[in-house]
Amino acid sequence: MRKGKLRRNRLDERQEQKLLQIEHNGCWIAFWGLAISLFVGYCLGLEWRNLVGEWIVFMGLSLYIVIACLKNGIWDRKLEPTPKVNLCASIIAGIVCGVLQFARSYRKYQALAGSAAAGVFMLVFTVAVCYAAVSFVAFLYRRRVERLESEEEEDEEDEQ
Amino acid sequence: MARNIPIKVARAEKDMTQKELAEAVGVSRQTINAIEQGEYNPTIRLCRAICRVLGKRLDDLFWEEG
Repeated sequence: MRKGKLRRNRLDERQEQKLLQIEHNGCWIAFWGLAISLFVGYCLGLEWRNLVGEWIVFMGLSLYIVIACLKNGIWDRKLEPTPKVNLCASIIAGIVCGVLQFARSYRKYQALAGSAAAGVFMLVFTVAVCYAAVSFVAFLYRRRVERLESEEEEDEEDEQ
Repeated sequence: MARNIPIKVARAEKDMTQKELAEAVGVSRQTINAIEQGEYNPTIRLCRAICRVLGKRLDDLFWEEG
């Protein structure tokens, strides 16, 4: 009896939609909050062991979003997984990481040339790794969409 | 949620596949399939778009007899 009461959804349709919206906002506040926290911690030169908690939660959240979207054949509301878009996203990530590496290195060693070299290396490395990772996920996404489409065709044929 | 047989019948009358109906109303074929299988409860806006394309009234496609 008590279990039944707990399981029953006490919200109506509108409240349910509103709660989903609130949870959606909460998810992205947590995501960007953690990203900013990691960014600031890295800029301040904190050791990785001081950031490991945030890093685990951030990566867990990111992995969940990627896997759940892939499973349902969803990529993005506006962007297509084309090589051009993937490259642009990778370059943005590379610039952020390059600037971050430069700032951290310069703050620590006060050497402009060395810090710039470290920043450029980080930029190139991040662009390469991000582009490879995004291209691989885009490949998995296309394969998943094809599979979902063919599953539906089978459903349709079975019932006719 | 019960399967939506009226949409399937109306689609067959118009000789449309799930893909063609999906393209006509601007959704993915997975969404049309989920509606027909009773796995997704569409918004009133999508219901109206489906009715318009299939030439039916809301009652014909979405009314459930008690």
